[in-house]
Amino acid sequence: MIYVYAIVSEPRLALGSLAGLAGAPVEVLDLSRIAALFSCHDGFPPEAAIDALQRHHRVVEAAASTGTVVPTRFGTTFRGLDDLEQVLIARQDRLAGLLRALRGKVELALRMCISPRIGAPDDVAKGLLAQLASKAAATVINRREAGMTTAAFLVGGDEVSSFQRCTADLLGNRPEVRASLTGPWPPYSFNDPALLSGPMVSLPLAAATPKRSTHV
Amino acid sequence: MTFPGTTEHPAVPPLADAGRVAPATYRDVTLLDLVDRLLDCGVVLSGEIVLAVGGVDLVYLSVRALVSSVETASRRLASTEGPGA
Repeated sequence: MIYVYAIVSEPRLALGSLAGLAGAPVEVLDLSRIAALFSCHDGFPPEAAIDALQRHHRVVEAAASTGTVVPTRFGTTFRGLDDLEQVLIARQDRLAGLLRALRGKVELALRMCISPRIGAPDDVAKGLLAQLASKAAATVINRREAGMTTAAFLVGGDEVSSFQRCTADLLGNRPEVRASLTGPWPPYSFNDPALLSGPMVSLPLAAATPKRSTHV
Repeated sequence: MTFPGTTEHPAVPPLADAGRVAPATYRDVTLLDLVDRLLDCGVVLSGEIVLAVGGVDLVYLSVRALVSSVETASRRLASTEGPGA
C-alpha cells in the first residue's frame, strides 16, 4: 500500500533520513511538474493515532521548509504506485495550479470562542473574522457550534508577524473573546482553487446545524 | 519560512493574551489544530482515500476526547466570564 503525504513542486528535497508512518522511508514519485511524497506499507490503512498524525505532519513540514507543498489528507492511500501515478497525471494541471497559488504562503489557524452572554455572538464573530480576512490572501471559516468558530488564514510567509500582531490587537482586549492563533502551518486548509482567487470570506455563521467542521 | 514542530512552538505566542485559552495550553491547542488540519483538510486525490470515505468519522472518534476537552474548556470559560463578569 502506498501512503501519500503531500504533493510538491520541488522534489529535490533533502529527504535523506526522513521517516514517515511506522518509520518507513519517504520516497518521491516525480512527474517533473509535480511530485508526490509517499511511503510503502503492508497492512494499512493507518490508525489516526497522535503519533501517526505527527509523523505525517513532520514529513509535510520538512517538504514545506524547502519548497511549496500541497498536503494530502491523513489516510490518503493507493494500492500501488501505478494507481497513484494515474491519479497524479489526471490531476496534474490542477495540482500544479495549486502549488503555484500556494507558493510562499503559510496558514495560520484561529480558534475563537465568544461568550454567549453578549448579544449576537455570531455577528460579533462575523465582524472580527471579516477584518482578519481582509489581511489574508484567502480564508476558510468553520463554525463549530454557537459562539465557537475556527478559521484558517492564508498569508505570505513574511506576513506572519504582522498578522499575529493584527490578531492580537483586534482580539486581545476584548473580554468576551477567547482565542488562539497557531501556526505558521503548511497550507493544509487551502486545497480548493476557488479559495485561492483572492481575499474572500465565507460566513456560514447563521447555519442552524452545528457541524464538526465543514469546508466552506 | 518555518513551521511549528509538534514538540516545539514558535517564539511568538498564539495571541498577546494566550493565557486566556487556559486551561488548555498552547501545546494542547496546537495539537488540536494539527488534528483538525490532518483529518479535515488537505487535498483529496481520489479513489483510494481509505479514511476519507467513511473512516474519518471513526478515526475522529479516537481523538475526540482531546477535541471535546479543549472545546468544552473554552466554552466553559466563555460562559463563566462574560463582559460583565
